[in-house]
Amino acid sequence: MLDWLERVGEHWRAVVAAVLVHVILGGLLFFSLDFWHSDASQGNQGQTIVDASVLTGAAGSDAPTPKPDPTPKPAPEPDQNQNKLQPDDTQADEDPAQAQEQAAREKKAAREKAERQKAAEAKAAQQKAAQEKAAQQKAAQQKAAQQKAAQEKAAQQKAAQQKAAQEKAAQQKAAQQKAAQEKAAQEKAAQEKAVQEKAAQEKAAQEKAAQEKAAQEKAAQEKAAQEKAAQEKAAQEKAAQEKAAQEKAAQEKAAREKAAKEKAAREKAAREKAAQEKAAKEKAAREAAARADLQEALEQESAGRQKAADRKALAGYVQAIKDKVEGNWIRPPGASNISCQVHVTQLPGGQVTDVRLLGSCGGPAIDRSVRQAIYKSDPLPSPPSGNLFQSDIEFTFKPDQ
Amino acid sequence: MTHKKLYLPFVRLALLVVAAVATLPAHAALQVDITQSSDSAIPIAIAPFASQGGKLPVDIAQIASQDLASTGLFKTFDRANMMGSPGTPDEVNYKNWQTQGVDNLVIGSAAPNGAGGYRITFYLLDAAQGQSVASYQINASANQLRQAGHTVANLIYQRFIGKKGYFLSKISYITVTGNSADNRTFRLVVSDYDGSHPATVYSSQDPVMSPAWSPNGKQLAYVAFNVYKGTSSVRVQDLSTGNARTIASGHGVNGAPAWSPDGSRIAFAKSQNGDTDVFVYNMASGQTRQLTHSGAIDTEPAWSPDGQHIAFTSDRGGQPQIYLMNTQGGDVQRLTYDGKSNQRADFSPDGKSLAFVQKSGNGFRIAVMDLSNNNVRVVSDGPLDDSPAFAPNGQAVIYAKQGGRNSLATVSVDGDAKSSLSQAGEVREPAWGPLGY
Repeated sequence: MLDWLERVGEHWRAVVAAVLVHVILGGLLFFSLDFWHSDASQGNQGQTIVDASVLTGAAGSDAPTPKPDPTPKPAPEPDQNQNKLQPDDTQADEDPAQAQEQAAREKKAAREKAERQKAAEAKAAQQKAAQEKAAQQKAAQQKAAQQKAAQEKAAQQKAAQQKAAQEKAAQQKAAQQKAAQEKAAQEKAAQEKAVQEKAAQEKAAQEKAAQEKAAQEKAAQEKAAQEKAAQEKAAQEKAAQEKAAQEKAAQEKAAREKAAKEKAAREKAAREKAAQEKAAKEKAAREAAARADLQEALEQESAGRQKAADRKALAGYVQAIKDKVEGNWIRPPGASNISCQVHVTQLPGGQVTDVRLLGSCGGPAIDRSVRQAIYKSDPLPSPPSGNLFQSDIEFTFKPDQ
Repeated sequence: MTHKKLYLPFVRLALLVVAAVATLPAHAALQVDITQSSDSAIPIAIAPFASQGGKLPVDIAQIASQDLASTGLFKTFDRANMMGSPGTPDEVNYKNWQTQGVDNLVIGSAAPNGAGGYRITFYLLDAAQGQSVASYQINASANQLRQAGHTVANLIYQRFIGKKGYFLSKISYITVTGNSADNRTFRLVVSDYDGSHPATVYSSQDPVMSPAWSPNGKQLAYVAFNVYKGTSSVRVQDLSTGNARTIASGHGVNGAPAWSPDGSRIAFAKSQNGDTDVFVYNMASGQTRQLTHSGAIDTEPAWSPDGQHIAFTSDRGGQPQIYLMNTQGGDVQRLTYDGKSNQRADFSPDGKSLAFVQKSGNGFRIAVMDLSNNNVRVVSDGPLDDSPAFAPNGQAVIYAKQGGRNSLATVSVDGDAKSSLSQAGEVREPAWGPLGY
């Protein structure tokens, strides 16, 4: 049901049209009967009824027009129509006055058209002139605009140049500051190094002094011991001689005993002395070893510092060479894909003794420019210290990477 | 078998020795990488050539010096500051030149060659190395001394730049004289590459346009108008005989001729019923073929040096841009996208670059596009630059500066070096001929 209603809703125009058609049909049926009645008054009743029934069948497609068809009468109607059309044509052909009039009208129209065209042409010409004028004005404006643009560009370029100059000045200043900083840093490093070296020297001197003092003290002690022993011996010998003079036999025995004792004492002293010396030697050896370790450590530390400093100095040296050669190298305009290695030998003063290209840089003109750049950089910058000097330099030209 | 075994130890030993020798110096040498170069022009001095048997009628050294200076790539040394003009390398004091910043010095001399002409000998000296690096000899008849000067410049140019010099080439251009439409005269002129020695090839009260050199330099194609009839025609004129042949004519546009690299065909623009398209004319058969069929304006064809493609200007995308097609009119692709519009393309002789007029916010400038990566570099200053044409060695572009003062100018392809060619009157549409040697 709902679907059906929806469909009716969708096709409401058709439904209304159908209802209307039926209403009209009903009306026609009703009134035509009356009509036929009026026709029937002229005496044709039976036919009208038959025809009326046929009419309803055809009424579905064409309601009012078929009406004349069924009757014999309506047959002349199309003829009349034709007759009506024919006079229309014949009237135009047959009436010369009208033809003349029309010709005149056409002539006038042609004249008007010509005038219009002329006016249009004039207008077009005016428009064209106006356009051309406008175009000229536009061109003039464009020219003015372009000139203005050119002036503006010039101003911009000038501003850009000024800016570039300022920037360059700023860069130079920055570079100078950087250089000053680097120099200050280097000086500071040098001072620190000097302080450290001085400290190491002082320490070494103190140790040496201590060692010398110890050695002197030991020598003094040994000397004192020897002197004392000599005095004691002399006294003992004198007493022994006196005693020998007084008590010869017994004294000899006592002397022998004493000699034996003395011998034992001497031997003991010698043993003690040897032990002392040995201990002293061992101590000295230990101290020496400790000193050696310390020295080694100091040397290593110093070497490390030296190596770092050398690396920095070497980088500066390479940069100096690079800057000089790059400043002297005018690469051929338009040359691309330049790549080559150049072996250069130099004397300690930087004088170039040989330039050897290891393969072409990309063409004879480029090779020439590279060779000239190096010869023009002769003498090459000197290293900050002699140990950084190398007689062989290998340049790699690769500006396009 | 036994021989091979015997050799093996020796081979190995030899290889070891070679490897050791090869690696040793690499460790010992200081490594320096060069990644920058100076932007300055190449300093060079060309001393006046000595002459045996009277003064030369032509100052060869002066001509060569002017040639090199005109490129903007060389900084020539003023003759007034030269200390002497040595004729042979033995007479050169290199220190003197070094202190004046002259890295390169050219000296030479001319002597009668017994056949009515001269034998010119000259040397290229490297002041930094303090030695002669090249020497040359040229024979020239008495009336060829000017060309001899250009040849000296060509040889030096090639030595330093690595490309052939263009100092013997010719250019062609249009001049316009007279102010009002009644007494204006248009001239098709051929001159030396630097604008000197101009000669009129064709003149008319009606506009003459678009000269194009045949690849062999013997003919010029150009466009002549007939304002009274409202017609235009593309003509091909033989420069030696003056004979001209019309290859296309009629109402509307018949213009922008461009020769194929082999000289057998000429592409041009022609309008039919208000629609301009690119056509190609076959010089041998005399037949014309239409290449483009778009409803837009297709014009200004330019033949690629390999003969495989034609670049042309079209406004099919709304604004004039440069497109590329094959010589049958197919495979159309758009080449330019930068700027507001791009037109009047010209291929570099090596086919790797395209020069054209680029319109941007601040006027019309000459731009050069690298066809390998489509990078575009604007090389001229504007504001109304037109008609770029590559030099026959591809190192420079000539173009017309319009607006306030019309003149011709050249610029190196990297845009760094510019120079102006002085010409009287209004000058338009330069075209650069072949090398000439």
